[in-house]
Amino acid sequence: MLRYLLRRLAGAVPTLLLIATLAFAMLHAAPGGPFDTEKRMLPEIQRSIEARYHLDEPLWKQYGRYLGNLARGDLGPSYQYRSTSVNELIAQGFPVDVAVGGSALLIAVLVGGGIGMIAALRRNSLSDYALMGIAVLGISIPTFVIGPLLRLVFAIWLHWLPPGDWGGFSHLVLPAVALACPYTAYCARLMRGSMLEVLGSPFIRTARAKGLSQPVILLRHALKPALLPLVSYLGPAIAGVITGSIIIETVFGLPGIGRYFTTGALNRDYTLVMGITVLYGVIIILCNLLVDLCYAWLDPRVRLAR
Amino acid sequence: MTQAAASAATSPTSAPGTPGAAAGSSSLWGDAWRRLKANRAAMAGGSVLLLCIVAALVLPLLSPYDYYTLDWNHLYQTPALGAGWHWLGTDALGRDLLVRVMWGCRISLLVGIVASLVTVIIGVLWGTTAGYVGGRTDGLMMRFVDVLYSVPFIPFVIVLMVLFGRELLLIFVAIGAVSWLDIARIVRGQTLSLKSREFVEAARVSGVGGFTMILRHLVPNLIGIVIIYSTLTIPTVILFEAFLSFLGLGVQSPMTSLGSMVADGTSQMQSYPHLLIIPALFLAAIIYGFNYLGDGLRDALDPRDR
Repeated sequence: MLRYLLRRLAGAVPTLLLIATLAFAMLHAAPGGPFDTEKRMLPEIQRSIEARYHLDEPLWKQYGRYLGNLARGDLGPSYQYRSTSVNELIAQGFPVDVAVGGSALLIAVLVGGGIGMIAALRRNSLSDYALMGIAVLGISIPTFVIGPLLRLVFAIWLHWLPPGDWGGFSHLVLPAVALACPYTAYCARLMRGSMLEVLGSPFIRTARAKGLSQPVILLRHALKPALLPLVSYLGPAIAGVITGSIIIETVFGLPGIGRYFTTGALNRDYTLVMGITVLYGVIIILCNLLVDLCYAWLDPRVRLAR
Repeated sequence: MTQAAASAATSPTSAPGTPGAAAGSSSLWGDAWRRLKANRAAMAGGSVLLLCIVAALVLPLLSPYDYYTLDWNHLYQTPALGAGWHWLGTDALGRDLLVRVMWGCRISLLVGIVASLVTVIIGVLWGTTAGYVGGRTDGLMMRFVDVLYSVPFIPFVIVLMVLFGRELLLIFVAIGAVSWLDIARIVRGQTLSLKSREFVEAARVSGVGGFTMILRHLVPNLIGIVIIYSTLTIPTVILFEAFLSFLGLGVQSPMTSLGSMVADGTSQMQSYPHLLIIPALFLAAIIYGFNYLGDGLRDALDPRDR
């Protein structure tokens, strides 16, 4: 187990290197630089700014410096928010993302799994069709429509919840629900399919033949194997939640890091964009590892260290 | 999971190949078509799609307005039927909503289909090559896919769109280049099971090798799964284009897509709900259509789950 973990973490290093290199290469291949302003700047001033951020050095030297700092966990100074480092920006914004994204995933798995289970148990009934119809609807409406709609109904018309900004638990509800919608729907569809497959398998028949009650069969025997596809979907879902959080933060005005990303890219804030990209890479790698561990726990046939 | 994989390995034999079972009347495609016709949800989805496509192609030709024609006398008009009126109303600049929605359908469908084609071509070639060549090449190629799975692609696409202009072509390529990973994995699995079959061996004995083998003998046998997969990729791509449009990185004005119309509509939904509802309806209809058609195709072409 420990060996497996270590090997996986060691395997993550080249991946991270690739991500960092891709980000670096793409930003530096683009035409224009971070300090090309429309106002004409005195050449000396421009030169001194560029020297301060080491932009006057040859590219390979910049790359080496960047990787060296990255290895020490230093993401460098932000070009756009002068006098703030990227690390500080991320430390401020990231907890918001974790709270919103984490609750969205939790909602997706719990609610989506529950809906899928109900639909599977009432297969081909009216409620099954209705639930799955709603699920496709959830998949087909973009987050940036659901978000403003929820805000319009629950914040502006009903005054139940705050319309935006960041504070206590009540500020978390609307963004998390809006972000969760498509994933909940997808989880419901996955859960319905896998539950149907599991319920048709011989070991469930055996459990029925033993005279076990329906709740026992469902929770003790069917749930764990039926969760497998859901768990393997979590990997892509996490990547999707990251994407979605960019939108949700814009819609609800949350102080997370997603909204820095687009403005950072627009303003050529190289260090900020590279830092956030690498952070996203780390999150995805760690979550994939977690998913694999869960998988082995749910399905004893999976052996981790081959 | 393992069960599914095992039956995947055996399923093609039972459905298409066996000459005895396919006695004259029903070929693989005939069978599939019959099953598809029996599936009401899939047929409904397909018809809605067909309707949207025909309308998107024909209506702009019949209308007196272009997607960029401004009508200063009729700003923000609500839908009204009658000769010489804007049937679905107008937007903030007095542009005819019907024509714009139809152009939006055209662009969204085009983005979806072309990007899916790019995805499929890369994915199928990568997957078949890895699966067919096998050995160390296979290990290397699939390891590469594993690494790419951990790359946070959305940030990269955003950076790409920001830095290298917002061209339609670039959207296709970017989205296509990002989403081929899944299909490469699926196709590799299928190829591995096809590889050990008699017809491949027969072809090899008669001197077919390398690339010809892949293109002439393996790829045609993968068409079923590829069709299913592309039908389900298209809606994802359309939504992704909508996401980019929301960030202002998608199709640029005056040209439009359903996604960018929905994004525009969301900002004015309190005062002019028709600007949101009408394009959102078409977007939902198209995505519904593809999803149900894709599910139906899966049941029709891949009947082992029944």
